[in-house]
Amino acid sequence: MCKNLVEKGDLCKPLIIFNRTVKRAEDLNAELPAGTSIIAKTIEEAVSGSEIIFTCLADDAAIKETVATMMKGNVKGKLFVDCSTVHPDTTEVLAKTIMAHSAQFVACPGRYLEPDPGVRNSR
Amino acid sequence: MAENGQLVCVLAGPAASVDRVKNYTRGVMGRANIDFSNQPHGKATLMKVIGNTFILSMIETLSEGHTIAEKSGLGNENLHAFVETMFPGPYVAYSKRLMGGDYYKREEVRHSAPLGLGFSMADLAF
Repeated sequence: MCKNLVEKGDLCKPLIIFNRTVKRAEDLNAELPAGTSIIAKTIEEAVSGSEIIFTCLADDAAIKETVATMMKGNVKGKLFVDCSTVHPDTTEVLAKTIMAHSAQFVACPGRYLEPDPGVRNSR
Repeated sequence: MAENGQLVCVLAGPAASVDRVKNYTRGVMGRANIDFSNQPHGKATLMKVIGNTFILSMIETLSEGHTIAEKSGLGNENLHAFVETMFPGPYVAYSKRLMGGDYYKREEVRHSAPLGLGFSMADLAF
């Protein structure tokens, strides 16, 4: 996702990346073209420096905790996009919370589609 | 998942917000959008979870099919030719992955998703 964002996303500033496991953010940062990304040390840092924040976490507990942390700062007018696969009720609660802080929210779960290898033989 | 793979996103929320996100999905991060603009946010994740059941069924079908193909003497390659002809698209990719041993060769579990919604298994790991 990040790779495509920096390559094709026409971003005017470096992509800010954060991961609870610092090494993962560091590895990703190293993979991306120089200067296209910077690592945030905290969630607060990532959010305060951004207008649009994408999240993609493993489960409901993780995203709830993360959103709670993100809402501590001033998030008025920011757009939060959650790509996590979670219970629909969780999504609704997150939406309510985020919008109560005058921010915007889009639920954006996704699935990778494998490129079709193509038909090898036709009989 | 595969960097070559293309992301299909389901987008739900107010249309003005969804439009802002679309700049970064189709053609950038993703291949296609399923647009649930102006629908309740939860519908997107509900779609995702129900969609996962399709993926699970597909993998189940392919697993059983390839097992029968081996045991009956039909052969996996023959079955794969049928899959390519009759079920082009994701079926072909997953059939190839099964035949290539992708799942058992991986260090990290490939798919692990909470199913919720009445399923008896809380997690399914491939």
